[in-house]
Amino acid sequence: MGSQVKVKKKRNWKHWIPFYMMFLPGFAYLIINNYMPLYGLQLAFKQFSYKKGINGSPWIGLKNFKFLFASEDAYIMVRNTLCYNILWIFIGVVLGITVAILFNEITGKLAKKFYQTAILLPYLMSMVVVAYLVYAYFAADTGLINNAIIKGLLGKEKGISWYMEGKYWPFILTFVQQWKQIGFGMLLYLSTLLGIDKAYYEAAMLDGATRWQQIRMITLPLLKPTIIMLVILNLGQVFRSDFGLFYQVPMNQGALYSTTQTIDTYVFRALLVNNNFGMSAAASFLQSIVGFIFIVSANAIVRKLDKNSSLF
Amino acid sequence: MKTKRILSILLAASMTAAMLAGCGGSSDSGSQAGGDTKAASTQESDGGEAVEGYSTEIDMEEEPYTVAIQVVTLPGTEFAGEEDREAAINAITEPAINCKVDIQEVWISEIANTTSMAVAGDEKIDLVHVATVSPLSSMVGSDLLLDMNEDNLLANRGQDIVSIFGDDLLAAGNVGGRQLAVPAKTFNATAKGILYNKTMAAELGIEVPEKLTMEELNDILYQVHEAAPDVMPYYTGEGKLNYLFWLENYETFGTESSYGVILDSGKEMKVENLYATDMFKDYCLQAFHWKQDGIQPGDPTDTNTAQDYFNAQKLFCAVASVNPEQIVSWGSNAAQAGFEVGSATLVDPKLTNTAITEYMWGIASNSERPDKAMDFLNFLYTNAEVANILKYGLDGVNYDFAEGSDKVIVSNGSYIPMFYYAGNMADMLIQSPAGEDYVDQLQAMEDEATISPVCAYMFDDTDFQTESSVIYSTILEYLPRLQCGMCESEEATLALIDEFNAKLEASGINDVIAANQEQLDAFMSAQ
Repeated sequence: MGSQVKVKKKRNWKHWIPFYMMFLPGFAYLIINNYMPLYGLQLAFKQFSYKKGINGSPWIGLKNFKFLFASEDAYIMVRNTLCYNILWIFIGVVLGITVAILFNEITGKLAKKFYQTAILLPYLMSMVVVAYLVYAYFAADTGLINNAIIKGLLGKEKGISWYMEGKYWPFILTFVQQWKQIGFGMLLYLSTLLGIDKAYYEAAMLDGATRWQQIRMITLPLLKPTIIMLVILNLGQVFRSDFGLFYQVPMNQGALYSTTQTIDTYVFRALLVNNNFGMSAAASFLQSIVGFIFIVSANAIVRKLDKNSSLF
Repeated sequence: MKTKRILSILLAASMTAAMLAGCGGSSDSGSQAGGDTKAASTQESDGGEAVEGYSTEIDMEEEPYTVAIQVVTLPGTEFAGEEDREAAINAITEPAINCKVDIQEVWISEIANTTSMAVAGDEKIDLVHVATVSPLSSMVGSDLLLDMNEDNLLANRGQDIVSIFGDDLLAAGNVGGRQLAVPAKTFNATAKGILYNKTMAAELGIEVPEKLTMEELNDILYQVHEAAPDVMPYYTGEGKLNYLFWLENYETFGTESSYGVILDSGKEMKVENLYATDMFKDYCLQAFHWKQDGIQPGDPTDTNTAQDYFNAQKLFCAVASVNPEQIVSWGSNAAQAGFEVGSATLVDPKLTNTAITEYMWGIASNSERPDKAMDFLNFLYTNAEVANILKYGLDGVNYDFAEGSDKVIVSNGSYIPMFYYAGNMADMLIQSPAGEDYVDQLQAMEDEATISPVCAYMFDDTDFQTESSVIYSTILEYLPRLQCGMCESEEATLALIDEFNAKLEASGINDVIAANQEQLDAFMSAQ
């Protein structure tokens, strides 16, 4: 009996070797890219000296973090970063699912390919190109909106100085972000939808369920784990922002900082001259810590509500 | 289960933190400053004279060391034939100073990042292009640059540099007693004012005197607008650079005057906040009227440069440093576009700290052999042949001599390192369209210039890194709107200036200015 167990164990161990081999490159990547740089986190608490290196540089406590809060704009940039992210996570989920469901309804092969390409195209565009597309619409003198709509259709004498008024930009940025991201955002939902057994829908149809009832009773509940996973992962990024979107699209205009300044753009502008490793490490560290708190908290809430849906 | 959960939390924490923490793996080896020929204490030179620090003699017996030197170029440029240039230089330097060269071409847009990453990563780097993009003061606190006073490196191995620049100019690279850099250009004096389209002015019948006041400039701009409404008389681009600097006589500290200005160093050594002065207020109101009257487009989203519009003949004039070098540089582009450039000065020639520190050379703190780096730099200022190869390339490959001249060359455009300056310009070749009298013109401006009493003073901002970053960020927020005249009325402009200054004060500009004043007072009393 004992020898039988031994043989079984040996076979099991050998059985897993190819899998471990496949795991190795990914694991090495993870170690090199994600874990080894952790050593550099100490820079956030040091006055970095090129001469003395990371270990030899003197500790300075939390001094590197000071610049993040020294400006009167600290509140604005934290508010903007958090609010935009939370709003976009919500809109992203709603629009992502909606578009994925609509996609799932398309039956024509050619139409499917066309729409998929069309909706993914903005995602593949550089943010600099997007910035100039937006500029083509919103430029004060030559922009399409001012000339064709405000002066043309509405017959007003003077257009709006879009790049001078911060109040319009939460809407513009939200539109641009969703337009650019929706193609990619809906892919994960679509792949889950494609994995749902058609038998559920056939059974529902036999019972006389309408399209809307099928979506509400079958599609959405089966999408729940994907939604929760994506929301929790996105919450980890809640203290970061898409630099290109907030810097390039508003053309780095000072007049718009009240609604376009985020932590990343502030750090870039503030350290443009200083090139200070300690301060940039501090900003990064803070973003990571806040992201971590959000992930753990969101997961804890989900675990409390539905243990099986939590990530860990 | 509990252990598994804790483990997963820890992993999640590490991964989240790691995402942006990749701040390079600077080795702890730090600098190996000194190298083999560094004297530990005191040595005797050939003459029997005691020498502190580095030996004054070059060791010709050892293996030749390769000095890496940055050559800064326009973004997007890549010049062929680097190996040939290196070989040509090595053929001269190896027998003369026992070292070779490794040319490292860097785009101006990448220079700050490339330098800091190279030093942090302990990569091969010796001679570093300093300033131009980020001021010398921004390199002080982080030990990026080697102190050339350490072991008398500059005094013992850079003797020609010391004699060419003299103590006064060298002091501009001395921050808090540390000689972090030396000037790159041998002619630094410049006037300030405008460069204008002379052909257009003649066609429009507008006379531009050689010297201008702000009022006269204002008149000329309105005349241009009236005579040629399609041409922009004045242009401030994105408005992030303070153009007032080229129109007034003040001396500035820090990027866009973030550490204050001295309005007139000939009268009072008082550091003050430029943005709170009446001069700045008047300029902003002027900019507002210029925008209203169509003198300037006032569109901070326009990313074209003044040069772009000027060369396309859509802009009448641009503010600039007015000196022979700038006139030649703008003039050659204009000549290609078929017009002539004229100049008018608003500020008389002056030798200022800003001009001296615009281009400098430093030695990286991780340089393996600072003594060899200094040997090469020193040699560049005594051997015009090497300086010419680095600046203009090779005869017959990158340029030809102008007809009848053994001094003036005509570049074929295959090698133009726009932001590279080293060597004694008085001995070097002259690039056409400048003529043989180019050096005389430079010398004439140098002779005419007044020397600022603070030209050798550099503010040490090590203790003000936080304030510096916040102040600059604030300037970027307000200056473009004010300079482009974007407010709706004079009142709104004045209100925005007040708001700007309130925010600057909250950012700590007054503390920085007070510290700057204190250091300046100490500097002046030490003179």
